[in-house]
Amino acid sequence: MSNPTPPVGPGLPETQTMVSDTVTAPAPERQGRHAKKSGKPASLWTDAWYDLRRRPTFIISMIIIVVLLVMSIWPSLFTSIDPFNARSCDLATARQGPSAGHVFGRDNLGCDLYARTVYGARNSIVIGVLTTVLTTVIGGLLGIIAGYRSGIVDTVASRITEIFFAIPSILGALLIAATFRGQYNSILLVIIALSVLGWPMVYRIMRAAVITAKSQDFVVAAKALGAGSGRIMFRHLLPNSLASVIVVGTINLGNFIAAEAALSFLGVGVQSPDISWGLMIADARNRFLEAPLPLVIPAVFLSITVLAFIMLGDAVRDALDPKLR
Amino acid sequence: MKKTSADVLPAVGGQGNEPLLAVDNLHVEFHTRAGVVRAVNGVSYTVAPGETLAVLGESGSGKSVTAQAIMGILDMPPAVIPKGEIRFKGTDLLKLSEHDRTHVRGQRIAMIFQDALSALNPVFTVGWQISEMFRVHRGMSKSEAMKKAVELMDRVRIPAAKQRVHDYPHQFSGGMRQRIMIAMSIALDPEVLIADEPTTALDVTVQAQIMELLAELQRESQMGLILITHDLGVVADVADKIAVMYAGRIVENAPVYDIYKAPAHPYTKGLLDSIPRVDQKGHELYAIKGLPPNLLDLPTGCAFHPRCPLRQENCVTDAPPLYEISGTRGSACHYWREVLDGERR
Amino acid sequence: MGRYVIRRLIQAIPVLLGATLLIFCIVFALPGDPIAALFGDKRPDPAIAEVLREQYHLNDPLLLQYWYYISGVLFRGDFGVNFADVPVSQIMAGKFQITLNLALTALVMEAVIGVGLGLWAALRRGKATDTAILASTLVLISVPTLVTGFVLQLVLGVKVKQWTGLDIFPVAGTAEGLRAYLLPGFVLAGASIAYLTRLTRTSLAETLRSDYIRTATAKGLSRRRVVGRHGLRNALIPLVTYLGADLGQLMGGAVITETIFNLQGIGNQLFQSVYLREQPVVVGIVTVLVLIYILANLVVDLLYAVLDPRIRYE
Repeated sequence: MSNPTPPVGPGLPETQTMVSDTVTAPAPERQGRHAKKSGKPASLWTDAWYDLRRRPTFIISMIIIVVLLVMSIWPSLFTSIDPFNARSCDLATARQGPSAGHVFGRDNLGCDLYARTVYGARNSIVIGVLTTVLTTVIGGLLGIIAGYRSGIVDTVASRITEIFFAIPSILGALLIAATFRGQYNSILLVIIALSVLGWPMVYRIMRAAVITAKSQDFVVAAKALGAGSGRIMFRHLLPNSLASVIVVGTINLGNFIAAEAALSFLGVGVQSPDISWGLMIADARNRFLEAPLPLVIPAVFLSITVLAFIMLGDAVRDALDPKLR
Repeated sequence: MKKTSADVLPAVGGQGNEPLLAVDNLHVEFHTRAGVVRAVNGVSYTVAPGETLAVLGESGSGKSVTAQAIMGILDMPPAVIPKGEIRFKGTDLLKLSEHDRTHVRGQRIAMIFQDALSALNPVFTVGWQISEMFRVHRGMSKSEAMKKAVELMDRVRIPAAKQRVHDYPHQFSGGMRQRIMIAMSIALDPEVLIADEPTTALDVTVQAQIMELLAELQRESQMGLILITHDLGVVADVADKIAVMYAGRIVENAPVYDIYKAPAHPYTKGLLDSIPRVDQKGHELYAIKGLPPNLLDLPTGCAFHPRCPLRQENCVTDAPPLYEISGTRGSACHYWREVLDGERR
Repeated sequence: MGRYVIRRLIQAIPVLLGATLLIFCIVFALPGDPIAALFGDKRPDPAIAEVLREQYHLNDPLLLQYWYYISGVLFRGDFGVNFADVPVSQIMAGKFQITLNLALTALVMEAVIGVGLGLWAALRRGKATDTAILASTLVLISVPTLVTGFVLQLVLGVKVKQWTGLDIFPVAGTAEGLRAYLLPGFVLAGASIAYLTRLTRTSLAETLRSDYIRTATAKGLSRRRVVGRHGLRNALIPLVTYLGADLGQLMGGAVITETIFNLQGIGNQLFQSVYLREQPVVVGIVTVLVLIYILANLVVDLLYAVLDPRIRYE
């Protein structure tokens, strides 16, 4: 490990990952562990898939994620109450405990807690997924180019990345989100604020993986046979570096969701009337001691969501790299 | 008062006619996910004071595992010793408690490893590592122990020992590192020294120097030396007797002269024939056919039969015992007579 | 060694300039006129406003403004003044003290709990204890500060006080001195504890598989000495460097914890200054954090050389 820099506090995107500890690009020529049964060596991916299907953590996290995806696409499947309809709230019943039809009771404005929490899933998932896609594309592309080209391109790209690393990510995101607040769609703003400081980590992982893959015989051979740069990068280096990027991406997704909640909690993220778990926690905060449920319910949903993605990332990493077990 | 090794084991001299070290019908298995790996299947050998036993075999033959069992440094689990005895001056080491065992390790029986760079701790100076033996086992003060370390480094002929005692392992050459390893192992005058491929990682010229040093130290102290190697060339000059191992068993044991003169097992014969010789110049070099056996799934009968040029039907079904050829010699081949007769050189 | 430090410091200059310039640009994109904001609801006299703009270089091009600022910081240690003429360094000092206390508390907890749990897991590798510890690190990493903060505030702070009558863990402010940092320190350390536990476990397990551990055992050393002296000394190298680098990360990530526990640290100050459009304070805080990051990384690299004799910096 050359320079381990720790991730920031929980619920924030990791600015850096301990490369050797969390992600190691597995050797592509590794023989499948179930090679005996199928009679031929399995590829990295079929091998990992064989392993994954037997991992309880993978199965549990996938079930949670599927439920969350359905919840964010068709929230009405889970509740008949429409939290965006003002008539579903009644100030007179604020902070009422659980009752028939309102399993978790009502929040500070007398709205149904369960319905609001269910509808809150959508923004978390949308922001988490889009931020992950954006950071992976930017960081991945730059990483593959810097790793392949090396020399001056690599030096410049790596110096620029270092600048972004030097800025504490949550404070940077806070600054961006606060500065441009109200000028753009709040959800879009959160995605951009998180992406600006989120891509360098993907860059580092991708660059390291590409540098490892580059020196392997099949890449050297492809080069000797006269394959073009583009072909080498996308047909040879990318597939062999994908494993570690997928793992980091999955874990990042969980961290971005937590970071969204943090920004919304601080008032610079998702804005009312949009629903966000972080916003719900902020709203419930002042009456927390007398009525804990309005804070606890979104907090539990948030934690389980983040847990599911991080657990998935852990499981995929272990399946792809049995050395770490 | 600190318990010393003398409290655990009888003083030098031992009981009756017991040899210094006797391995008796030792079995070692590794219980892995893939199944039970039978690494050692009934190995017996003895070493007397001042005697050098060479244990010869390819990797996977069980020669190192046997040595590690003697030292008690196998990871258990996955390793299991279901059967056998390792008697040191009549005391079965396998029956000792882990606590008593630590008094034997390093003080009475010591070991040298193949790759001294990885076998020495990279973050401590060599002086610290050698002197640790005196500090821990003899209760010496730091400066006293360090003085002893310098003496030992002188004894294994490391130039400028006094200055170099404060250097780290990576600052030495391969041969010098192995000398440090040796210095550390002989620090407390052990009665048995096990050298596990001590020269494999070294240049040929350095190999000879290290072997010479070992032989000299042995002459001075009358230790029993177990030399584990896959290199027949190393063995000839220093060993008194040889045990050839294959698939976790001893297939032939004999005084060194006898084996070189006429092997009594086809595997030994194959090993000897695969050494390049000047008088065979121009001929194709002999190589034993086939691959080493899969320890998860050993062949039936004689484990060597799939590769044996003299194979008969009963080799596939009956495992040969170690036939006694003479008082000092044995061969685990049903047809040892034929092998011997065909090989009068 | 000295040469290496100087070279590293020179290499750090572009990082410092780049990061502060980036923040400078973002901050000056803040909407609205800071001078107008200064006067609140009253309309400022245009002449006075103009004088103020000149005084704060607000009429100069952005790069020139940046130069005035960064040269002050680098050559005179002068972080400028806010619009109420209070020196920024004076505003920051107290806030940094609080955040530093918080981060140091977290760091100590991280080291004690993380290394402790990691060692325990490594020595029980594959057993129930190991599995339980690994599972709890997963939870610790996953549950956001936002959640652990409020839950622990309620359970350990408020409820314990209700049940026992003892105010063991103060839940807000810093009036109680160092004791006030216990709970927020733990909350801030949360995920770091988990990462360090995992790192310790992997590192020690890997070390214990090394050849030199086998040698140490063959020397007849007790298991305790083999693990505690030969194993730990090597396994410690990545851990110490991780901890060194984590201090800066903890300080930069403390804003949520500070908000929940009402600690007036830099996170809170930055947040307020963004709203008050106090650009010099915002840039000042980030500049100091970037400096801490750079220095922490330098210290970590030097620690490596101290801990691992194989590494020599020329």
